[in-house]
Amino acid sequence: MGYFLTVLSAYAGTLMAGVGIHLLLSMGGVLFLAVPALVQVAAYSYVLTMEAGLAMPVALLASLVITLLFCVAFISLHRRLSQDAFMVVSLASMIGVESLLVSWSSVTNGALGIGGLSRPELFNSLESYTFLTVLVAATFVAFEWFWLHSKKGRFLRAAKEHPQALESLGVSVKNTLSQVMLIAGVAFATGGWYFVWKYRFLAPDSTGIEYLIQIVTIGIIASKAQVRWVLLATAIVVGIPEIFRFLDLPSASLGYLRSIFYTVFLALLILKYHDRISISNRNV
Amino acid sequence: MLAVQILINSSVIMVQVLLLAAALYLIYTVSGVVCIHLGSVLVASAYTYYALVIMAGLPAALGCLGALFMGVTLSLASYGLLRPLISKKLDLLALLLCIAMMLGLEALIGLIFGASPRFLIEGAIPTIDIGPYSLNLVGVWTLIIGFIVTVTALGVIYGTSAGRKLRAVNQHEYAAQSLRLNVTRVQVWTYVIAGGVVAVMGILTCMNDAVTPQFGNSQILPAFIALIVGGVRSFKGTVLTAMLMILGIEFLTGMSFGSFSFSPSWNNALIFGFALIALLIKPEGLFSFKQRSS
Repeated sequence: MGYFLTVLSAYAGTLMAGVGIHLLLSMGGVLFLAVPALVQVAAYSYVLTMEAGLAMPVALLASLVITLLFCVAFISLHRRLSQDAFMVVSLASMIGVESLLVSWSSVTNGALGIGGLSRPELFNSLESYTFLTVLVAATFVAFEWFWLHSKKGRFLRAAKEHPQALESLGVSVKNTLSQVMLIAGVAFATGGWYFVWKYRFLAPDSTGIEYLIQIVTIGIIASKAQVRWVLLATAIVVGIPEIFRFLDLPSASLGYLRSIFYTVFLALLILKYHDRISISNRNV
Repeated sequence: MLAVQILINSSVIMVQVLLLAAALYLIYTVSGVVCIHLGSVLVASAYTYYALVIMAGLPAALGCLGALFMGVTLSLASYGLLRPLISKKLDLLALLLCIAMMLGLEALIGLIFGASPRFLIEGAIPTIDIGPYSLNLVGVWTLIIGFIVTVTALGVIYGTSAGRKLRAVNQHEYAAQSLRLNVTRVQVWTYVIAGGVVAVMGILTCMNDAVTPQFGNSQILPAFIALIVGGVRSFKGTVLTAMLMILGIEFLTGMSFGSFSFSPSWNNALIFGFALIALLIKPEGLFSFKQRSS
């Protein structure tokens, strides 16, 4: 039962960021690779503000504001840069933020990380914590369902599929994508808090390229404008590597094997379905 | 005196970044892809040298050949994988595939060699002293090779017919094809050369430092920042940006400002900060130029 709940909470935690990338990448066509950076910013800002003596709700709010400020910086870059330059800079942000967290050791405790982090008392047991993560993830999924079925959702799909048509209707493509980036920022911030409460330990390399590949893979599998695809994609990404746990392999190899799995899986997806990922399904 | 020593040390790092950026530039020029997995190709080449020379006890020359073979093979293999995306101009998906390859290569190296740091040279590296200044032998070789490759690349790109073909593919692939230029051949040779340059830099860089499976990430960051900030279509811009960026950051981390100083671990954060500021000021790149369009 404990194992099932652990996997379920991992599924729900990944689903939070999955909703963000589904809106941004699958629906909006923005290849945003700063997900690990934003998750780290949210996690560290929450932990550091808590350590500074703020109450948990205030710390969460402060962390959200800081994460959204980072999102605003990325929005500004997205409006000014070409797509590939934006993608490279958003990827570089991951290494930049990690380096900042390692170097600013007087505040972040450097590469040693911050340990002994506590969950809210109400959610200290595995059952209650899993319930919380599932509840939060379900809220995001429900929000996305309503968003995609609203006028805003149609604007977002149009921004990817036919931006000129959207502009001709008097709707700004840039503003549409900026709004979605902020919403995705909230999802990524929640993903950061999930990290803190799950591991009760935070280090500069808590999230990295493997996490990025996981999230982007979800965005690529869930290329349709239906929420059930995000649920399915997250189940595939979180569930399939669990098979390695039941094989008789040395524990030191498990992490590497999982990384190789994600690499091969993403490469096959891109090579086999690149037309579906990149080109609009609808003819306008 | 300290400033001169910092300048000498930074020149070595600058050349390492410059050559990786040159490899990235060459590949971007002919295929429009920022091949960021070249950092992992660099590490794979270094580990090949380690396996042949340190583990198997073969001569260093054979180790270099093995590393070169590994660099070129991995570069060609990545071209094979990227080709369907390159031909359909799906640059962003190609970049995503490069990120996946980077993770896969790192994991594969980790699986074979483990996560602990490895050293390509046993014992201390001989040092050359010129007056009060000193530089180790690997640094000297890095500077010599870097100088030769950069000057040759500048000469070839801007002064020969091969360079014109390269720039033609970069600026207007269809026009180049209509003049019966074999674009695939140009791309294959460019990937071979880039793989070779990365392999050589892999050996030299990792001789100066302990190598781990993730070592390539910290090496590739300044290189692709130099490429993007310099203006992706200008080799001179890439070269100048790499030089200015590394010199500036090495001076910042090498000097102290009263009671305040940056440690070398700040390097990547400073590079990212530099990229942010530069791109916000000039999004198309510091040394970009207007491109011909049909």
